[in-house]
Amino acid sequence: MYKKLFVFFFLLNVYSCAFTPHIDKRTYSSKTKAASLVDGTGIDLFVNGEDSKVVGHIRNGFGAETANIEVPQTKRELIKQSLEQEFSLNGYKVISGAPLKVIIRPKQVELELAQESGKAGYFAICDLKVYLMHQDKLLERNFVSNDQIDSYWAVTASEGIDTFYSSINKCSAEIVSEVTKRVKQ
Amino acid sequence: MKFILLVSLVLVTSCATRRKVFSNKATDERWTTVADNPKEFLTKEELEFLGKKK
Repeated sequence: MYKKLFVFFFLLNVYSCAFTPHIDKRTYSSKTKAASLVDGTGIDLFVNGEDSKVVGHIRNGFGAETANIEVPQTKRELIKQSLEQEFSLNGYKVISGAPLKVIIRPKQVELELAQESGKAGYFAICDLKVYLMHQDKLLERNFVSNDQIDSYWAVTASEGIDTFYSSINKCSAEIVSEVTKRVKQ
Repeated sequence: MKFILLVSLVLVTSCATRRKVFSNKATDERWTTVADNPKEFLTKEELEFLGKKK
């Protein structure tokens, strides 16, 4: 009896180990939304930070990181693309040299495979420091957005990566909304 | 054997991954004006982007 149980738990441990890196090869999904709000105001974006394509890690049943989760673009490219898209959808023209300038400094942009309250899942965070140059003043604000997917059953890495993209998109939407409010003041 | 079983149970249940604490972070309430001299904390690349020199 004990032997069988031991073998069961041993196999469960081995099974939960993931040693193969997950590389997401899907292209970044784009949104479809009606344009609105701003009437062609030019904006220039600069995203600082690391050029890493590794957005998270897969862990085994013991909590050790055993493999990376990679996406096709770097974090910088993803943030810039998401913001460009969101600004464009809201009526801005994203052009180099525009007087309205936004600097993005990523503080924590990552995805984590973890376990909480008996559920396994992916937890994504997008924490960005944003600097806005407006009317010769440099303004600063922190934007944070979370997303997660969890289940009592296993969650696939692809589903997990969607939460990562979602957290960046939420952050971008909030940034565009708050920049628009500030510019209109 | 009981000991091995107990250790195995603990490994499966207790030593599983723990989520990092993300929940204590939040978006700032408002924009704040940065100190008089942005050159002190902006990087060279950021200053070049703004059209200023360090």
